[in-house]
Amino acid sequence: MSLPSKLHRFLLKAETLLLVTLLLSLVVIAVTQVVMRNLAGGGLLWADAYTRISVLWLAMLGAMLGSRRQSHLAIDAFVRFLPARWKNRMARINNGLTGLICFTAAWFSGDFLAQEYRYADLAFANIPNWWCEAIIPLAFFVIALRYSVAAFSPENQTNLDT
Amino acid sequence: MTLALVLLLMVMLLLGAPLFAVILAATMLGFYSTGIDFTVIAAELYRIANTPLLVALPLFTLAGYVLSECNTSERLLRLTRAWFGWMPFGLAVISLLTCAVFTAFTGASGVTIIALGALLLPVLVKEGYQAKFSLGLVTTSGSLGLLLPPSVPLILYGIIVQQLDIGEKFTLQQLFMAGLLPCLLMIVLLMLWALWANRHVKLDESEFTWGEAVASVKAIAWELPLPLFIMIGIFGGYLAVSEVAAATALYVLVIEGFVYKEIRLAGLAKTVSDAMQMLGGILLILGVSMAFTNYLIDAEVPMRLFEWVKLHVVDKFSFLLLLNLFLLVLGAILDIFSAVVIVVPLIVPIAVSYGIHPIHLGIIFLANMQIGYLTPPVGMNLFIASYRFNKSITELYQATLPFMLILLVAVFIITYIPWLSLWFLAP
Amino acid sequence: AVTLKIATLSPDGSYWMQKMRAGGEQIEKQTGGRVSLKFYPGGVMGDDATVLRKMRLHQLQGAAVTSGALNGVYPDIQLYNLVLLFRNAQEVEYVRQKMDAELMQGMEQHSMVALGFADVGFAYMMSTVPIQTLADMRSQKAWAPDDNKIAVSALQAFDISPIPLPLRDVLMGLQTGMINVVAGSPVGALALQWHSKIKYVTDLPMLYLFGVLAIDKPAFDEIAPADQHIVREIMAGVIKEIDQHSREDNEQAIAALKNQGIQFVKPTPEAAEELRQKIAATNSEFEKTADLSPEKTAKLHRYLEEFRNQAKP
Ligand code: NA
Ligand code: NA
Repeated sequence: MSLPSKLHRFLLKAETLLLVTLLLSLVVIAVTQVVMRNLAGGGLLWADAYTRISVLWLAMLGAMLGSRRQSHLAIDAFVRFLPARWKNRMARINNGLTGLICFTAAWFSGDFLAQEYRYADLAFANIPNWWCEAIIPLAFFVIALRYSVAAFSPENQTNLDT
Repeated sequence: MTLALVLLLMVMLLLGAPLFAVILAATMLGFYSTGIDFTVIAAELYRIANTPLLVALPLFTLAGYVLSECNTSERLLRLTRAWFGWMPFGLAVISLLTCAVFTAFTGASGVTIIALGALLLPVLVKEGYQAKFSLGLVTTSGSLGLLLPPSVPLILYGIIVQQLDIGEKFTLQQLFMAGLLPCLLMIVLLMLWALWANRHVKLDESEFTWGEAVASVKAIAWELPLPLFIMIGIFGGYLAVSEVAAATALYVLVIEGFVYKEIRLAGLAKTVSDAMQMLGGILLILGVSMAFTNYLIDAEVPMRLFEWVKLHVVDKFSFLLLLNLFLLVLGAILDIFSAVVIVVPLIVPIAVSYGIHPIHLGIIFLANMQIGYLTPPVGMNLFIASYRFNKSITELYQATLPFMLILLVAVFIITYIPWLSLWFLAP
Repeated sequence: AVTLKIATLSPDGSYWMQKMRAGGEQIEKQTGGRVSLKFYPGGVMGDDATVLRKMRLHQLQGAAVTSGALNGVYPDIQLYNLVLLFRNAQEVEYVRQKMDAELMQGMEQHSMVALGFADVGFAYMMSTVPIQTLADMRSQKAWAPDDNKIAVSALQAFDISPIPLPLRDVLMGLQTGMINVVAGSPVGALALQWHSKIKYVTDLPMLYLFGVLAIDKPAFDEIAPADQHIVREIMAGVIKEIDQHSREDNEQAIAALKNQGIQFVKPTPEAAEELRQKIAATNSEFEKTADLSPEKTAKLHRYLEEFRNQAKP
């Protein structure tokens, strides 16, 4: 296996691992909160912020995962009646446009992140807000990349009905 | 130029481009035309992290996915057959009631379809109900408890109206009372539809025997306490909703992993990634919809729509008719929380001047918004069901259409018979 | 023509918004349409933090927010927000008369034009059990808004366990006993329905709350100086009216709470003093960590002392 494809596989694994870890941490922290409140009185003061922000991260990571096979929701009311060749062509055009839109979103989210970095306020504990926001440009960039690659690959993997 | 781009977006939408991308592009177009910086899109998405109500969503999603990976629905089917098999249409009725209660608890955040719908759907189908009917039923039920306490949109309505300077004062308890009969009306109408739609269907009927009844409970003994546990958790005051969700997720992981041994560590990564793909798909659409809503608010679109409604009003009757129309349009494009905060302060003073009681108005408002969960383009129930049951949006439109029409009938009855919402007030 | 887009959490139709809209119309008339204000009420633009973020991103030019939200812009704005600092409305009035202008200048140096400060009222402790002394507080379960460092550290100083909960769960928390103490203004308690669950109010002003109408300075500077003067003048008048009305509102709310059978329990002077001593260390710690100007803090305490000496016969 070549180095780039090894790296790619490593990144895919890392993506999934991060997702699973985040979700389990959400479970553990919320349950700890309950136990602390009922047994010790009180609770983790940063837990609420942590759980809210991890929902954003889970959502964006989930959306990234969903773009691996371009399985984001779409309205198929009309496409389903097209002949296969046209269906494929349509899908590639859609993927290309989606890639373009997401690159634009990634660019401006990056600009947003830079401004937030300069403003430097804290989200919770000692975590700056821009760390928490970083997932937005990152996710848009990865989604853009995946849709663009799909637009240029000869056979299309868009799966509306599979 | 703008018109051409709008048309292009419509074509993209109809030709199967991802919904989130179309809404995102529409947002950019709107921002461009009003001179809002595109960086605001990210600021709007970040508001996902500012919405405490959403925390329960990934957790219930996980629990729901794990349960549906295991044989829980078979055990549930056995249980309902043993206990309610003798009762005609018992399962449809029970499904409607359970979903309504569950939705009220979870703030109509779509959790009902994920956690309950996915268990009920296979049970309904195996019991003999038509697939399309069953799909419509569980998708619709996902917002059925909106009028029951402690539904969050209902509370939000009460809080907003209380801060307005209008004559009629009411308490939150009265608002809760007001929602009971209208919600019951919806449930009854949907039940009647369930009977009618399945009148030719041969449902499995079984005799009640104590032996099977006890055995079926034994089989599901570990999962059966879950609903009770969720209710006690929320109402007993030990847990907030998000914590109930976390405890549920943990409990489900433990019993399915160690007691029933139906899920393994290797399979868990796949389940988690499936569950989170759905969460991501839904929340990304929600996030970009919030950005699009921001454009609508900045351009004062809801206000202008309402000015138009006001222009065409001559009496109370036509006001109510146009109000329903206006709210249906709004429900189609906005999520419920934005709709409540934007529109309630606009309409309450005018409605009151037409002699409509603010409690009645609140019920009309939320009943309309409940339909909004089923209408395109932003219909959260449709999106969630599409992911959860792996059905196309088109199929879901077809399946939910009769249910939506019934809810529409209910909304008209609720609108024109104020007694349903106000019976407990002294005349 | 310059349009200032201003967002606030206050709902449309409330007294705040009625007055602000009226002020906006007056400004438009007096400047001959060269300046217009556009309002986004009811939190439709998001919570205070989001609104300030949108000001930085130039979608909005102004916001009416609680003073605490501005701590990242101008730390000294929290000067009045020390726990148990003021003992009554007269003290607040005296200090604000002396210091408001200075704080507004400070805001302006931090690129925000403050058009006025409006009273929100005192936050009181409200509870299901009577609380009059430090001992009464021990091991009660109080709601702590998780983003409010002042409230959290104050509760900890009083040996109360702060229970972090989102605002929307507070009512349910009170009902089920997850928490039994909340803090807020009387008006807020009525609006959020807390009055249906609490039985006692500790009759001791805990914390002074106020709102700020702030405009982004670069946007404000686009207005011609003569028109700037008109905007400042009119909005200062509007905020003054709101300020006045809010006091009456809170007095009415207190009466309403009493009407509901809620008991106002007053700590004895000794008990109140014990609480003040207990919080002193936390307050001076806060003055340091929150980056308050030592010079202004000293001034504040001096004014308070001055007033208290005058008040004594
Ligand atoms: Na809709
Ligand atoms: Na909707």
